[in-house]
Amino acid sequence: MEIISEYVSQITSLGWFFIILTTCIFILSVIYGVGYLRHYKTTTKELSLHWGMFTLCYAGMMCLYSTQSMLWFLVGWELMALGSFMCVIFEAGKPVVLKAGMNYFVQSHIGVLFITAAFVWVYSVTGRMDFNTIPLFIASISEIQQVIWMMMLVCGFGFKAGLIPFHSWLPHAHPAAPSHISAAMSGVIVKAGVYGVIRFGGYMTMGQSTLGVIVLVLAILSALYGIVNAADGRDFKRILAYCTIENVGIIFAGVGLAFIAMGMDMTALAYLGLMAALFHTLNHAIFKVMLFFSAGNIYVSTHTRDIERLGGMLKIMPQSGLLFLIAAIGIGGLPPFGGFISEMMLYSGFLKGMSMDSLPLSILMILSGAALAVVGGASMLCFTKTFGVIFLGVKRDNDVKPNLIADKYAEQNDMTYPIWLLLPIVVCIVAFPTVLCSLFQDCVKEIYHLSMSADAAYSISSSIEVLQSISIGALALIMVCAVLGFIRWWLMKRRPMAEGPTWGCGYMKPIQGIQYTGQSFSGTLAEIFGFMLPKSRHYEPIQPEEVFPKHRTMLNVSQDAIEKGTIAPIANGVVHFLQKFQWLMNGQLQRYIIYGFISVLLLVIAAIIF
Amino acid sequence: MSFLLILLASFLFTGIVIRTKSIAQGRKGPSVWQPMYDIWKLLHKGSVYSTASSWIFKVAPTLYFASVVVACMVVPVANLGSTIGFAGDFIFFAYVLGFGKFFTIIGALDTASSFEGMGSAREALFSMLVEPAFFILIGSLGLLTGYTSFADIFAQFHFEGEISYAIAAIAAFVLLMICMIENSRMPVDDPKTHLELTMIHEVMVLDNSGVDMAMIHQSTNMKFALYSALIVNLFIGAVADTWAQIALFFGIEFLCAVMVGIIESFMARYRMTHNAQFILVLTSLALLLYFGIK
Repeated sequence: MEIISEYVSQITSLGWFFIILTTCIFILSVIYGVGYLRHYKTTTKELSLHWGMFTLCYAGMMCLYSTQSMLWFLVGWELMALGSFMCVIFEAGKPVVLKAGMNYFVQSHIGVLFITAAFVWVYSVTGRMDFNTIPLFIASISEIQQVIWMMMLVCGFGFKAGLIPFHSWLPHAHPAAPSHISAAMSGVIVKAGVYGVIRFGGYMTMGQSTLGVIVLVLAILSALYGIVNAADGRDFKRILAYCTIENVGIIFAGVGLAFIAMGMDMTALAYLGLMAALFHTLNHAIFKVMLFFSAGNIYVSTHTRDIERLGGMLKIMPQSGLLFLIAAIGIGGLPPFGGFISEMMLYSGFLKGMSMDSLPLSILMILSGAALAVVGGASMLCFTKTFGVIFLGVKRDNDVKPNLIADKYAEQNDMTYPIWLLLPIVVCIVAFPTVLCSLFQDCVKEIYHLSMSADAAYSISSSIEVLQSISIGALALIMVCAVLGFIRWWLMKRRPMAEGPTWGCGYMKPIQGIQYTGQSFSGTLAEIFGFMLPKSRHYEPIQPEEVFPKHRTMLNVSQDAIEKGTIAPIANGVVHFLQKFQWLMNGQLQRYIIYGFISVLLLVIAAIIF
Repeated sequence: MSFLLILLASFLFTGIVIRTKSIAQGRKGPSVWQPMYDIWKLLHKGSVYSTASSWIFKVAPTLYFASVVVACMVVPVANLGSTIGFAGDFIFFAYVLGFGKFFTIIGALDTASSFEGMGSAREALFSMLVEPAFFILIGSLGLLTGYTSFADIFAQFHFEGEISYAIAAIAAFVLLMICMIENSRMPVDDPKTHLELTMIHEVMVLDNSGVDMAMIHQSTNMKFALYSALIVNLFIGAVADTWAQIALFFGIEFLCAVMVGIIESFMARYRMTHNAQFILVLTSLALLLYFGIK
């Protein structure tokens, strides 16, 4: 009973924000998921297990957002990890799905290890588990210890959020999971890590700028790494997974900026960074869910995730295509949608940060801003490619036969209206960014007790005011588009229109295979960022003695450089080490009984001695 | 007001570029109004659409043109002010142009042509590489003046002393180069080549015709005038009189057009693979400017 009394329910504004966001996305995922799972051959038992685990995951998230106790935070975290793991392995019969799921499970528990260690450290100093003891704990440790404590949490939460180098589960788990689970994972479950860092970052009193620099550098690298990998991908759910890593990077860039600003006593900038982070969290959740849902519709219809086999889907699934396009523009940070507003906040944060007195920090700021600009450009490349190759042109592979019944179903029923439901929210975000931002300001104010001078207060309110001008700019863009569209329509009314084949620059009989593919679209980018994208080529070269070469195939597979370079060697090392003890496990029952006997004996001896 | 000036300048810009080129080549050349005649002619023509394309192909040119129009609204000329202006509007400027590019690219992909796909891939890559140069450049000017909107930066720029004109010279060079890249002109792309394989922008619009093509042409003209207007703003601060400013505006726009023509006449196109390096040089030049200011 003591444990239950530990659960202090006092929900902060920040908690409310995450609770509302999670609830909305989970409800939409359920609506979408019911339709989506109808396309699988499932039994009632499997379905009830799936939805049960989904609910468990939801319960866990509610617990961790509402509690003020570290113990219950961990309980909630664990329920969330377990529930989402079970949801990911819905198709557990497929080895690749099971492997991806196990990968996620193990990595998320390494993350828990870090978080638990940080919490146990607090417990060992104060002897209590509620959040109110953390300030006491912080007061008792030195600056460097504070940074280490927070770094443990950043690592732990980074595993969930997909910050590099802790991201490698993400590109496996998202493609393996059913689309509604990928949407919920990418939209909100990953964001639990963001919540954690923002929630506990508020307790630091010293050394924020050191921590901020580390977080900012990790974040910018995550964003770059994520988007370059996404741009080079060919499995569309994997592309979206890497895009999640990119956006988590952008969110954490805001957090890192805020920490640096706190260390430099620039309250207004700290607010701006955190507000940008929360704003982008919201935007990313909405657009990523839209993307995963519409991508799910494509998968249901064509049963392939390989973009190189698709093409011309816009004509077959116009609604999903339109929604995918809107979300792609939004998530690429292009006006007029909300993604631009949060990126704009981050840019203005970096611009303000450039005027810091410290030269290294100023350089960091301008480079981060420039990196963000590259990320913006690369994400445009990534999404023009993804949208263009899946939805435009003509179909690239005749073996892909869109299932017309499934299409109709996906287009007309409960698989598109959850996506349409998000559209009013998108419009609201563009129309009223200032209202939202004031709410975020309250969230930050409650957790971060920063000294607020009149100057800082003015600066914050003016940077919120600016958002209204951005939304006016976005409105202007929409208006100009509408006016020009009308003029064009009016001019075209009286002009002759004809249809013909695409101009092939002199080639009279173009075939579908002549279209530009996704791989060639991103080829030059992949060359420039080759160090991030090691490719393994499966190809058997033609031998000189082969007079009549037989049929061959070539396959280029790009790999995750960090996974290949760091995670895989460690995992292999562990396996190698453990294999040395294989002689212990020889399958003889008698031996195992002996082991049990020996361990009991050792315990007894230990008990006697101590 | 600034918007009208830029629009006016855009009518003649390409004409002057073409005229400069023909004079450099020893030809008489077409009238400076020729590009406008072409647009007028295109506006009266019908369109042919590829059977492979969808509605994206039809809306793309309109959205592209719209994005350039909105970008024009953001840029002020001297102290005439811009239609839309706020702190950090230069990022809005870059991203609005990005919005237009997004649609040009997917419009090109919609035709299912291999050449247009190639052009769009290059356009996406090069504009990605240009972004940091632009951010660092204007960000540095913002650092110098302490403001982050175009209008304030340019208004304040003149008062930073003699050094600002040295900076302006470098900034003008970088901006001119960005202008050439964004418009896919000579050192990066050759719009007048006979071979579609080596083009960037021109090959993306192979299938467009009629009104759509007119809009694309006018967008290019306006983009030229737009970037030149940024250059104009770097130098115009010393003059207070509005009429003199307007005169100076057209003078510098004319100079920019002649410069573009001369660059086009006397430079060869880089190899496609070297373009990325060339564009990154601009970023480092912008970074140099930042260090100069800091």
